[in-house]
Amino acid sequence: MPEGPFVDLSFSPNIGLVSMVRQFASDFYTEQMGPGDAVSRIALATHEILENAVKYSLDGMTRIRIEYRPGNPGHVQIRTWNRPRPEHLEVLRKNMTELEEAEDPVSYYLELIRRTSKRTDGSGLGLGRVRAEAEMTVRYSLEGEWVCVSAEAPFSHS
Amino acid sequence: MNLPSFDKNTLKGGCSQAGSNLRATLSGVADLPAQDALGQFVVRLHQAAVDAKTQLVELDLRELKFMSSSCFKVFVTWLTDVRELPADEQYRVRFVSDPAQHWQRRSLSALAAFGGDRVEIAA
Repeated sequence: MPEGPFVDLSFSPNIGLVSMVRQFASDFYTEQMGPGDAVSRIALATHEILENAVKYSLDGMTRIRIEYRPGNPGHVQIRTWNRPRPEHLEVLRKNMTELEEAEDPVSYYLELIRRTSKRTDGSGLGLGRVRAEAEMTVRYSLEGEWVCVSAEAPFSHS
Repeated sequence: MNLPSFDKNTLKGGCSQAGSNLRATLSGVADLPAQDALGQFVVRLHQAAVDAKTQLVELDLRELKFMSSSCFKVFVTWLTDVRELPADEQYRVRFVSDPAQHWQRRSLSALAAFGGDRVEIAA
């Protein structure tokens, strides 16, 4: 993605900072795109993938980068990095495989909602929610011992 | 009747009786640090509704600025509990939303699809 405006933040995991970063991202994208539904979707995606990154960080560091490439449509990319526990990496792999193989993001999300009613360990909804509610593509990649999770999509100006 | 309320981190909740119905409100931000408090509030709200043989619980979310999936799950569990009541004890749940908060339309639509005919969305 060619470089446009971006913000890159690193912080030590503190779950209370997630809402602060979501608000910051909302302000950033409102400045770029104007207020409206698009920014609401981006804020939701920012919160969900960052909350996951903080919750499952092994050692104390989480990084987030939010970017906007102007155009018509513009392009938004949100990326987080953490060093996850091995068991969490396996869960991420499984969840991402399911998400990528799902033919319909909304149907898959409703299936996750049905499953979560019986879960006792987290909601398991975050990435499916980003795909279905924020309508953003979710990917992950391994960069050495770091895991990068991204959410991205084209967005028209409000 | 012992009606629940709480004030935890960025989230506040309260409840009052409105005739034979219960009317609850949430305001602030419902994220992971508030999940346990929200869960306890909803469990007590559900119990109050069952005890009072309520037909309708109205939950006003117009002052709720954001809800993460960790708190969304609390509502999924609640609606599951309602559906698992005997048919004559099940009550309706009406979420009152703010159309200007775009995330509410998407998230509440998903909850309504899950909750079936026991769930209403009012703007």
